[in-house]
Amino acid sequence: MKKILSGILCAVLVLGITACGSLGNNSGPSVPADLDTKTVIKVQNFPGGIGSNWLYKAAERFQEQYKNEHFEDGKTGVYVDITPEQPNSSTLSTSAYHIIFDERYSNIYELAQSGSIIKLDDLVTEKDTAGRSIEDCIYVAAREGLKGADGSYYALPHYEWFPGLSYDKDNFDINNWYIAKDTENGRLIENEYGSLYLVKSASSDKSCGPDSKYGTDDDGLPSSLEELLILSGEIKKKTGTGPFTVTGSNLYYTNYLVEGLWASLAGSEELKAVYDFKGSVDVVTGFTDENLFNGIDYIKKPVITKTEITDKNGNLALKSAARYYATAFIEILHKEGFFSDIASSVSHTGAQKNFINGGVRNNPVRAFLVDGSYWYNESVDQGNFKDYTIMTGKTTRGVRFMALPVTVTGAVASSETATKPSLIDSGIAYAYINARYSDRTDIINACKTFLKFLYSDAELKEFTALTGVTRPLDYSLEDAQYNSLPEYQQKVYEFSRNSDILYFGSVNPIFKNNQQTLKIHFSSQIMNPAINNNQYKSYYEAIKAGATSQGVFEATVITDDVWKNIAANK
Amino acid sequence: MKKVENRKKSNVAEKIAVIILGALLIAYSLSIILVLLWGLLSSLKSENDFMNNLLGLPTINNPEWFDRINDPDSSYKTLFWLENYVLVIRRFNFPASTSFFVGNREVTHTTENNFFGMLFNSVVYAFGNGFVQAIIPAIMAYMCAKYRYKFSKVLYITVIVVMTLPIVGAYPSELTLLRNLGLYDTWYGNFIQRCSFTGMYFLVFYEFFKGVPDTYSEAAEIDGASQFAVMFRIYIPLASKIIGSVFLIRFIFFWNDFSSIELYMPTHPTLAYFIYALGAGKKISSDMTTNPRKIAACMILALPTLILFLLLHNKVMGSMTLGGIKG
Amino acid sequence: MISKTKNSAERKVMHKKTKRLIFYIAVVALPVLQFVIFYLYVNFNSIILAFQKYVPPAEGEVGFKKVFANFDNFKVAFSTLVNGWNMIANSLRMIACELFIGLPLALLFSFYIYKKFLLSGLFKVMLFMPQIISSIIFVMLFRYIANDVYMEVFKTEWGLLSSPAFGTRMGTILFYNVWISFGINVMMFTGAMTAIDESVVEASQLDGANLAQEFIHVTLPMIWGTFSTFVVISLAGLFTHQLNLFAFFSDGAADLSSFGYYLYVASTKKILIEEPGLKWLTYSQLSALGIILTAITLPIVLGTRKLMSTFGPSAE
Repeated sequence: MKKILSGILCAVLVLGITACGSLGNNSGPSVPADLDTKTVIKVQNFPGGIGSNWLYKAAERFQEQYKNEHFEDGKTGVYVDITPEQPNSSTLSTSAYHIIFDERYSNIYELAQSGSIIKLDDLVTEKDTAGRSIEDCIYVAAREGLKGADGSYYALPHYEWFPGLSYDKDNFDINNWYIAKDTENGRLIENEYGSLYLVKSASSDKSCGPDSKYGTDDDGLPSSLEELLILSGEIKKKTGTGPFTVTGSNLYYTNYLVEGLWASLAGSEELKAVYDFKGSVDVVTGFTDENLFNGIDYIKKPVITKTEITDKNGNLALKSAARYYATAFIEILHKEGFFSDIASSVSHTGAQKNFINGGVRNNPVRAFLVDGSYWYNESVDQGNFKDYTIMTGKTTRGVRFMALPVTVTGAVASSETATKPSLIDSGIAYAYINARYSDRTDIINACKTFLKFLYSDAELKEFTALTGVTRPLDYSLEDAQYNSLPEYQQKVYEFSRNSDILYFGSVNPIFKNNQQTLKIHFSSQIMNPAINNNQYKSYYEAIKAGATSQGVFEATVITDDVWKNIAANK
Repeated sequence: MKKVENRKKSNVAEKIAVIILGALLIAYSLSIILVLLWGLLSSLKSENDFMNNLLGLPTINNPEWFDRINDPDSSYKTLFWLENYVLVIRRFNFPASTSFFVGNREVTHTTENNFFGMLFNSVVYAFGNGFVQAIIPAIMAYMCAKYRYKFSKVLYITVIVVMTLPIVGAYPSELTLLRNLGLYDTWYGNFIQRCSFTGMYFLVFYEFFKGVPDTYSEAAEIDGASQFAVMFRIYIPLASKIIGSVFLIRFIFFWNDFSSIELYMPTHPTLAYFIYALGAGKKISSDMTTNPRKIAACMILALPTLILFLLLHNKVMGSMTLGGIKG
Repeated sequence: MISKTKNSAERKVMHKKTKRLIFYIAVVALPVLQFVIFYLYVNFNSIILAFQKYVPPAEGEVGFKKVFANFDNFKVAFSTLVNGWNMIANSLRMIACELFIGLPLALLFSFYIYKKFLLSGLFKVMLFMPQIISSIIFVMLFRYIANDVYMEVFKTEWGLLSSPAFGTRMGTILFYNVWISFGINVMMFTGAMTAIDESVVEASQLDGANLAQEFIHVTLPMIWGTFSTFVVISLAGLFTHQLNLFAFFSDGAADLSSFGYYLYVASTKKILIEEPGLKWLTYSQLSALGIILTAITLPIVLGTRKLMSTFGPSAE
């Protein structure tokens, strides 16, 4: 035994020593042979959601266009070396990467303060031949999040996505699950939550939907939480399955629905107060004994006081009734058994697959998918739509990102002008240049040229045409590009271009100095309640463990005492 | 008379106790076998089959299907072509790179690792570290137990203190040190770093050597044996069974270790690190994320240790039951 | 003449002593040097960190600055400890399971194997299996079994690990930790048991000792050293034991969190700058917390050691 072990050991140690020489410093085979003659830009790209394909393609075009450029002495042309990898912004000082594309983890303000990333003012404000700069194109609301304490730009906006719901349009069409315009066009459905008129047939007139205007994409969709609740009861009765599918392996996805509903119910004007600390907010000041909805005795109506938000009472912006309603709705979905697939083996793409395969063979229809607006890409990569085609022979699948209810009870009255949907950007994604290389002006120059190239009008369009995901800049797809997108992505594109979006960032100095505490994102502490010292990653998990929505709501507000400290920290 | 009766009674009780213990052990063994068997079976299913048919055998035929090979509900490809395994091995391609400063000089390491490269890394990493971490604590424990200097007491207390100190956030200074010494992300650096004597096995060896009488060494020294000979000819061989056990334990620990690779050896990925990377979303293809493929990757990682263990367990465990200081 | 021999004998003793010392220094030096560099030097900086904090740069400067923080970090760390009673309770639950279920069972199993009762060879292999196969693998398979398979078999709404009931989830985690814990313990215990001189065992059998008596009066005292080492190790893990929670739940273990798990997750949050209202600790505060926990654990561990060696069965 000893002999065997020591024999193997010796062999292995010898191999180990040779390995240092042979395996130690190989470089990848994909790198071009004439690399030594080119300037190399190392790019690290967050791989989730939209992947890296867009970057590889853009890099090829960039390399081709600049193949005769001398960025460094003695070198001609440029090579973009892309690594799809989760960036770690806290180790930039030892990172090998020049340019980083990150989602949600990079805090631009802090990185700028710590001197980890370089100033991009020249790049952002430089006018092109048409007299327009990148800054001119960046949406005003998205600009503050790109700046450091000195007011300079340190990053470019990468992409945006919106947490919320998608609905199964094919099965909505088949089952006539749209709300009717009036009783004439409708058939009455009744359950413990109330009654509602759904359209009789595909040709019946639908209600105006959350945007209050007839003839738009959201017609027939529930405009209030109450309508959504009654409809969900009806769908569950019909399908035998909870209408809301959500991944069980990442329960924080349930926060997507809270954020989506919060933004929608608050409306864009009120929502801004959470970062700007001004404007008026419907603040919850207590709770009555009255039930909020029929048939549900565990959600109570809040007492609401319209409050003017200032720097002095900024914490009240989080006590908004909209956030309470969104939280309560999660408790309802949990307690009424409206969630499906919430098992740990169902991944986010697994939930998407169940949603897509709804109604196929013996898979029950899942009316709604809780996910980010980008989910379609993931399902394409995963082969979910291909599988659907094999099983059904059908090549298209009608699914839509959904306009969410804007009021709690009743229905929205119709009007001539549509109200823009209110969304919250959860991408919080940026591109920036690592300051570790700031003394290499030649490399930095190449990096800036590459970024300038990527943020040109033509490349912005290419980006969206390929990924179906938008950047918060002003540009429009060409018709051919638009038509090449799948229907779902066409609608998301239109939806995002016609909505009011809350971007991370504010001119308010209190916000700037307390970004970690005040951030609204599924992973931030406002969305991760701590109850009895237990940290939960979502409102749902706390509710499932026995907390009430009132308890969760109160556990995620900022107390007056803490706010005093926060307001002093500016 | 009474004594004999008592004796009989206790014999019956004894037997019952042994039977209960045996039954517990059978239940335990079954639980382990069933879990692994379920894993094996699941790794041969398609994702849909896994979700629809959690406990059954893989489904390969259904009159409803257009195409029994390509239908997403069918496990035909995953069962007969071992598609999950093939995919995992094919995708086991891991380009790793890291860049850091040694003083003012910038160093970049890049490696391209296929499945077999990572297998090799796993073997070297586990064998080398296992050996170092078994022998160093044994030697140091021997020194502390048998050489009763004040410094030995200090070392002993140091080990206890180190074990109880839950130090957080020492990584930055540790990494800087390794880089400046040129040890970072290298095999020899890894082994030097692992030459640590602190930890629970020091205490195990210490207790062992304390329990071995000094008479051996006294006799040997009278015979003229050197200190070195006393240690390596008499005492260390006495502890060889424990050293073997510790080696095995550390071998397995390092075979399964992934977090230290991430920290200290980023361009020497092992198989365990790859499984971790799969979960952490590093450079992976999205079609890895189905349940059966995750399980298949696990089965591949488990196989070598399982085979090694099944081959060697008789020797390792048999030698351990032969008895310690008789010889 | 007489004094001459005495002198040379003394010199011989001296010589031997010096040789011993030289040998001792030669062997011990390198590992100690390794320790000084890789442990003392490295951790020295961390201790300093506990008395420092990072602050944002002043107007017109870049780069965070480290400033002396007095005992601020310790104050925050202490209040975290006081508020973390439920995490400490979870840690204690685990330690209790380990001490009162895991270790005694391991002892009994080891005795069964040591006595070579039916199938003991097989059992030894099976008990060691969870050590052979990576914890990543066992956690993954166990999670499927405890959730999906359990739900399928018992037609329940929730799995054992996804259940809303805290007791069910905690019980499952505790079970898992005991379930996979036997390998090393049994191996070390049987190793120690087989090292017992057979003449002692035979003598006790001749005295008419039955199995239980042999276990209590011969086996246990002989392996007491090994056993108490494992007890001490369990206790030393009081604030560092993660219960495999990270492997199970990543950073979402919520009410199941143990203190060791909390420390680990907090240090992955990589927070440098303190912000009012921020729930996670900064690196500096974590370092301070580590020092406080050490101060608590150390006397418990040393005390237990002392107790166990004083009041344990003697091997005479």
